[in-house]
Amino acid sequence: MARLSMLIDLRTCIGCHACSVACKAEFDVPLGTLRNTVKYVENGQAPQALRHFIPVLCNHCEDAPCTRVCPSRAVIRLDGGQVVIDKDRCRGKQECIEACPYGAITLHPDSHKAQKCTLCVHRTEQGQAPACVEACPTKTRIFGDLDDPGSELARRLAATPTVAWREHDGTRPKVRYVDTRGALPLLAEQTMNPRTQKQRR
Amino acid sequence: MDLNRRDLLRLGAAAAASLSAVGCAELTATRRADPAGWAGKSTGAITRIPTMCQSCTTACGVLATIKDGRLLQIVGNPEDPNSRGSVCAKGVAGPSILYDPFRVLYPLRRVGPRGSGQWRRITWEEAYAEIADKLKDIRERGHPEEFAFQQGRNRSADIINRFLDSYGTPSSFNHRALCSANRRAALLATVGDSDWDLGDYEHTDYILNFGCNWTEAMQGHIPIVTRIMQARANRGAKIVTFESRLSNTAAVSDEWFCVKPGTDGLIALALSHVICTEGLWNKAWLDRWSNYPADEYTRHLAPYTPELAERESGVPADTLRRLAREFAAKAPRCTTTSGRGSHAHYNGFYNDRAITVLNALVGNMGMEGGFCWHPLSTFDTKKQFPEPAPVPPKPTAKSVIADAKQWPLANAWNRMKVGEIVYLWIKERRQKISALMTYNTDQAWSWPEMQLVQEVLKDEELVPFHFCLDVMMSETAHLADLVLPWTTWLERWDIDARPPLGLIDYVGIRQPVVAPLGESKDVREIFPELARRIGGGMEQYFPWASVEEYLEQRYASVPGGFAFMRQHGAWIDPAKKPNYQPYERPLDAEELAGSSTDPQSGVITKGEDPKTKKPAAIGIVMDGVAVRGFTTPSRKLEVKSEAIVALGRGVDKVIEPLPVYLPIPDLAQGLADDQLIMISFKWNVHNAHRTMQSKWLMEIVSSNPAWMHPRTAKRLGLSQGDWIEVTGHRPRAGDVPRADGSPVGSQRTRVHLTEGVHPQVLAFSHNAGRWMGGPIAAPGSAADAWVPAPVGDRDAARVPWQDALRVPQNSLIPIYPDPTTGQQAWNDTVVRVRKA
Repeated sequence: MARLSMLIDLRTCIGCHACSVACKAEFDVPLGTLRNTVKYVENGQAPQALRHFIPVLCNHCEDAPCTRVCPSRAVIRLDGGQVVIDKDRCRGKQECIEACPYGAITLHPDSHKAQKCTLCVHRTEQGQAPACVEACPTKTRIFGDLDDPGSELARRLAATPTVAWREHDGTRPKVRYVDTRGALPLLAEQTMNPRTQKQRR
Repeated sequence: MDLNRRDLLRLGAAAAASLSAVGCAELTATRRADPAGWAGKSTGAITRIPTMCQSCTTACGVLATIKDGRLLQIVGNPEDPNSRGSVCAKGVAGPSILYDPFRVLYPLRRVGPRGSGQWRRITWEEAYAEIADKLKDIRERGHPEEFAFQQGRNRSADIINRFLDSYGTPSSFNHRALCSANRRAALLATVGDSDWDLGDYEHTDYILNFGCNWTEAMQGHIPIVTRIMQARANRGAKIVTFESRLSNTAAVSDEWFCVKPGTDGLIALALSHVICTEGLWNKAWLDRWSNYPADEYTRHLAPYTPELAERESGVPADTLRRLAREFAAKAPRCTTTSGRGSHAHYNGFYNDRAITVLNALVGNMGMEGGFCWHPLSTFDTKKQFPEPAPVPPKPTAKSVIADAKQWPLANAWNRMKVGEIVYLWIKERRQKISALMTYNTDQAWSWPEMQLVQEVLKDEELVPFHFCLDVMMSETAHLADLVLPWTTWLERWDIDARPPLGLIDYVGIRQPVVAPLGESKDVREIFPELARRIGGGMEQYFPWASVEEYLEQRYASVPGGFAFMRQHGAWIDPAKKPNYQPYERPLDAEELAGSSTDPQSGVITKGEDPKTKKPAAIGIVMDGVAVRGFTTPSRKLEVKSEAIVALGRGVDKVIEPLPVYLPIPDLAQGLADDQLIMISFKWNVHNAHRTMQSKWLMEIVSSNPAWMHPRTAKRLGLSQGDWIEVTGHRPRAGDVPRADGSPVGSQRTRVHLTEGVHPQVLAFSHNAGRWMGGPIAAPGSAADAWVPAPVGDRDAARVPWQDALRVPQNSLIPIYPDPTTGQQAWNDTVVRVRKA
C-alpha cells in the first residue's frame, strides 16, 4: 500500500496556472468546474502588501469524509491511496460534494456524475507524472509516495517544515505545502469549487 | 519532469484491500478494472510533435501530444535551449485555441454595409481573385504604397517582407511603438549591439526590477522566470521590484516598492547618485569603457538625490541608499530588468536610458551574472540561415506614415515606426490608402483611441478595401470586406527563435501538428499564390513548390537539416560560447586587414556603412589593443549620446544627450481629487487578442474591474464592488497630437479595492471588453455579434462568464507617443472617476 501525495513548495509558485489548464486539457474538465487550480490571496498593507499563489487540488485525505457518505459506495480509495469516483457506480447523489470541506468534488454537467482529481492514476501507473506536475514550469509540485523514504517527496518533507490546508478539520489531508509566508491560513474560508446545496434531480 | 521510478506508484504490486486508519466505512479498490472516467487523455498510443508556441511572443519550444489525429495536450520541449522544457498556461491552452468552437474556418465576403455583420461564405478562389484584382490594379497604377499592411506580432517576417517588398509597398505598419520602442531605443543608443537586454539571470545574485512583469507578460516570460528562480534557489539571488501595482512579479519579489508611475528613471538616477557619490562604482571599468568621464557624470547626477526621488516616487531616500549599496556590492553579478512599467511613458526613453547606465556604473556590462545581451534577437538570417535567392529589393516608394519623421528615434536604428498614429494620420489624409490587409492583430480593439480606429476602418472612402486574416471574427475582422480564415500556431510553419537567454543563439521550428482545420490557411500559402496572380514580376520571388521545400533550404546548415528540425524542434551549435563581454574581443588579423584607425578616438573603420555611406566602424584601440568595443559611434558605452541629439536637431526637437528625469508634463499640472493616473497591465493567462478565444484561459480571467487603493476609495466614497464611471482624457500638455485635455471616452465598471495599487492610480487589465468573436472571447455578445455556429464543444453552450465586467481599456486611452521614439505612453492617462 502506497500513500501517494504531493508536496507544493509555495516559494517557487508564480501563479501562472499552467497546472490548472493542464488538468482541464487532460480531462476536458467542463467549464464551471475545477479539479485543480491556483488560488490568489492577498494580505498586508502597502508597502508591505503581499499576494500569495496557492495551487490546490483534492487532498486525497486519509480520513476522507467523501468516501463514507456515498449511498452507492462509489467513492473509493485505490491501492496508492488516491480517492477516486467509480463512475460506473456513481448515481449523482452529490453526498460526496457536500461532504468535502475543500469543495474538490463537482458534478459533471454532462454525465451528471461526480468528478474529481485522480492524482492522474492513468499516468502515474505508466511512470508519468500527473499532468499538473508535468506542466509546472518552476517545479513547484513534487509528486511521490509518502511511504517511500527514498522518494524526492519524502526527502523534501524530511528536510523542510510543511503544513496542510485546513489541517484542523481532521480529515488528514495528504497534500503538503512549504508555506514560509503563512499563506494557507488565508485560504481558510475558501474552497476550490463553491459547495452548492445538493440539487436532487 | 523526471520522475524516479521509485517515486511512482507501485500499483501493480496489488496490495491487499485495507481499511483506512479512521473511516471504517471507506472502500478500497481491490480490482484493477478502470471504471470509465478515471483515465485522462494523454496516455496510450500518443505521438509528440515538437513545435513552437505563439500564444505570446516568447515562442517557447513545445511538444504537441497527438492521438488519432487530434491535439490533446501541450507540454514543454526540453530540447529548446531557451525555454528548456517549461511552458505557461497560455501554451498549455493550445488545444482550446485550436479547437475554439467559434473559430472562423471559411473565407467570408461582406454582403451588407461594412460592420453590419452580414456575411456570405465564399471560396478561396473567389477571395484570391478579388484581392489579386485590387492589389494588381493599385500596383499597376504605380502607387504600391497605397497598399497598407497592418501587423501585430509577426513571427513570419521572412515571407511577409518578401511579399511586401516584391509588391513594392513600404506601408508596412507594425505595433512596436505600442510595445517596446523606448526600451529598445535606450539600449541601441547606449550599448548599440542589441535592442534587447538579457540579464544573465541564471548566474546573478541581485535583480533590480523596474516595472517589468516577467512572471506574467514580458517577452521572455517563462525562460526568464525559470532562470531567476534557479538563481534564487541556488545562489540566494535577491529580487527588488519597483512597480505601481502589485504584479505577480512584485508578489514574488523579496521587496516591492509601489512607485508613482513614470518615476522609474528618477529612481535609477538616484541610485546612480548614491553609487557615484559614495564611490561604489567600478571606476576602472568606467574609465576604460564609458564615453563620458565618471566624475562629470557624478556632477550631472547632483540634483537627482534620493530625497528628490523619494518626493517624486514615494520610495524612502534611506531605502534607495540601501538598495544602491546592495546592488553595487553584488557587482558584477547584478542586473536590472525593465519593461512597460518603466518605459511606456511620455518620459520612457530617458527612464530606460538611466536604468541602462546604472548598470554600466557598477561594471556589470556583459559580465557573467550581469547585464548581458546578444546581437541576434532571432536566428541568424544573414549568414547561417540566409533567405533563398532571389530576394526582392527594398521598396523605393515612400510611406509618410511608416516614415513619420516627427519622432526622430522611431526609425533611427531599426524601423520601429509609430503604430499608434497610423489611423489618425489616415483620417487626416496624410497618406492615401487604397487597400489594407490586417494580419495577427485587432487594432479596432487593441489600439489606443480605438473609437478613432473603428471610425477609420468603417469609412469606405478612407479605407476602400480591407481584408483581414484572423483565426476568429475579431473586432477588426468585423470591419473588413473579406475575412480570411487563418491557421492557429498549431497549424503553421515558421523558422523562429527569440533573444537567447543562454546568451548563445539557436534556431527552432514551428510546424503543423495537425492538418489545418476547415479551410484555414497561413500567409506562407496565401502570399505566393497572390504573388502569382498579381504577377508583374512578383512571382519570380516565390519559386519553391511548397513551404517544405523552402524550409529545407533555410535549414540546410543545421546538421541533419530540415528532418532534424522536424524531429527535435530546435538546434544550437555546441561549439558556440555565451556572449560575455563581446566588447573586449580582440579583432583578428583578417578583420583588421585594410582597416584604418582614427588617431584621436582610436575608432577603427573599414569599408563603408551601406546605410550611412560613412566609413564603417569595426572596433576601437584600447591600451594599444584593437578590440571590438561597443557598436556605438564612439565604440564605447555611450553614457552621453551625441547621436540622439543630432537626430532630434534634425526635426527641431531637443533630445538630452545624458540620462535625465523628465517630469511628465500632463502630470506636472497636478491631479484634482477625482483624477487618477490610469495604468494598464496584462494577466499571466492573456496576451494581446489571441488568448481570449481560449475557454480555459478565460475561465481563469475574464473580467477587468478597476483596481483602486482603499484610501482612494474612501476619499471618493466608494466601497468594494461599487459602480464607477471612468473618463479618460488626452494629456493637457506635452509634445503630442491634440494635447488639449479633451475626453477620449467613458466606461462604467466596478472597483476592486486592493492594497496592491498606488493610491494615485487606477489599474485596468487589457484582457476584457471585446464585443466580437463569440461568447468565450466576448461575454454576453452572442445575441448581437455575428459568430459562426459553434462546432462540437458542449462547453460552448455553458460559458459561465457571460456577466463578466468588460471594459475595453482602449476606449479611455489617448494616442500618446513619447516625443523621441513614438512609444505609446500606456501608463500616463489621467482619468476622472465618479460613482455611477
